Amino acid sequence: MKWRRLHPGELDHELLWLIVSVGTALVALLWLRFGMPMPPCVWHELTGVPCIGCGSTRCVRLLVQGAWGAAFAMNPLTFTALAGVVIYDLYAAAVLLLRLPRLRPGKWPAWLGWTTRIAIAIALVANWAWLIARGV
Amino acid sequence: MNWYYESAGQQQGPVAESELDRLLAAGTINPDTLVWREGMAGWTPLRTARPSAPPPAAGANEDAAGWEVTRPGTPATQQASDAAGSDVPQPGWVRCTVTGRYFPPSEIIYIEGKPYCAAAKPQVVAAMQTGAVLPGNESGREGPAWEHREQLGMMKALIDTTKAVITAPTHTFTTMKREGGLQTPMVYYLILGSAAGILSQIIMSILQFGTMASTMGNAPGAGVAIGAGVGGLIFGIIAAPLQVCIGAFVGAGMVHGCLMLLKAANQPFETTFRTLCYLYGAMAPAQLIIAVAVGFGTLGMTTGGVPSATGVGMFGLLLGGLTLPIMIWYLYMAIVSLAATQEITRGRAAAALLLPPLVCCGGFALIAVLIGAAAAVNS
Repeated sequence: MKWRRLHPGELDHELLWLIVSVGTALVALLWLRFGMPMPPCVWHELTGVPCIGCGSTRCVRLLVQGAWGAAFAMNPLTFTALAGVVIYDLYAAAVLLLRLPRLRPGKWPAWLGWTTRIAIAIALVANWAWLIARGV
Repeated sequence: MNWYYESAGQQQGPVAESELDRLLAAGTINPDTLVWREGMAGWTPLRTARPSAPPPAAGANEDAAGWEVTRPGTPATQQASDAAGSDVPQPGWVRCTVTGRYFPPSEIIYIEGKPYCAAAKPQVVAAMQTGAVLPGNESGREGPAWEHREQLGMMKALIDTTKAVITAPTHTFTTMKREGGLQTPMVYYLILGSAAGILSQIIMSILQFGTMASTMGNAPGAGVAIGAGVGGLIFGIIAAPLQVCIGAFVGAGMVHGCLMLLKAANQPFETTFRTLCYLYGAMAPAQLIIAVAVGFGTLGMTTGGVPSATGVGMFGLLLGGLTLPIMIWYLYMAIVSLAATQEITRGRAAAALLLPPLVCCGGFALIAVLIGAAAAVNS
């Protein structure tokens, strides 16, 4: 990883994903507030077993209510992903406002790439096991 | 006024005009050094950008501003390895527009937003000196018709692009322009996606009101329910373009993330985004059919006791029958398009596209069942 300034004409990922994430959050909050319909989980309907994303909407609702612990328990992966988005947004806002250099990945060693992939797979399976065990 | 200049293959700056003069006088830069400042279309030799600049230092090395890339503090062997680039993408590496090889960002210089490696210097300099279009290896990739809407006209370009994507996806995406920003394909998808979204909302609301009228009649609360329905319709119409924009970025982001996980992201996010925008846009009318089918099907079920229900339900069933072939064709188009633009096998494209729904919709369980079934058959 290294810090560098954007090249002229280079896509400004920080600005782009900050706008997308904030826009998504606003639409999602309005959606929930207006009580718009949420599509049911087809997998859950058919099998009775939760899928990896089950409980995400309830997780967001609990977060909005400030019940962080309950939100985490509802779907740990969604909670962690949302926390990651918040951290990224704070970073993006800081570099944009202060006109700082941007963090860009360098060349990843092969072992790091595989470690990341395995970690993601383990996180998905562990999250799914948690949801099944809790009967979300 | 702040200037940026190219030195040793890297962008330097910003520096003030007086500092630029000092660098010129010191021989750090020369009249052929590429410079850029806000308002300029692209990187230009200093002698063209600032004809009034003071003369350079006597004996200033003309090669000082060359593209020979060296970085202090990096072992010579690694520098040589990095400078040679790679045929396959590496995380964070950038694809040279001319050679098509991948390099670490430190080995790349951007001119007019396009990345070039050191080997591309002669061609780029020749193009700049003659005023020709900057070189690239994207010859033959000028489509689809929407990219030429100014010449063709909006409506014709819209129809031709949609027709081409649906009827000849392989050819369309093999010739699709992979660079050129996010705006052009985004507008295409925004027009078709918003139109389909708004029409879906209106049709669904009409069906919903029909259901309410048949089930509630003049019962108390019917007015409130209709009012809520109208509110939902207005919100849905306003939210449709927002949903399209967010859907495009989130969808492309997820697919590109999966491509990276599968080591199949041969092209940058821009290419994935452009591909999916044309795909989503062309499929927007089909999504409308699916939404209407769901609406009619629901109406048919909820108004079971009404004489007209059978007809309505049958119409929903008829449209619903179209849903499966549409979804199969959509999946085929998505695989073909991603394989053609990312230059990957269709298997990898399929894996990248199916990974999110598989993970989200209990794909692991499905895989486990399939593995279990296969094991059972084998035993």
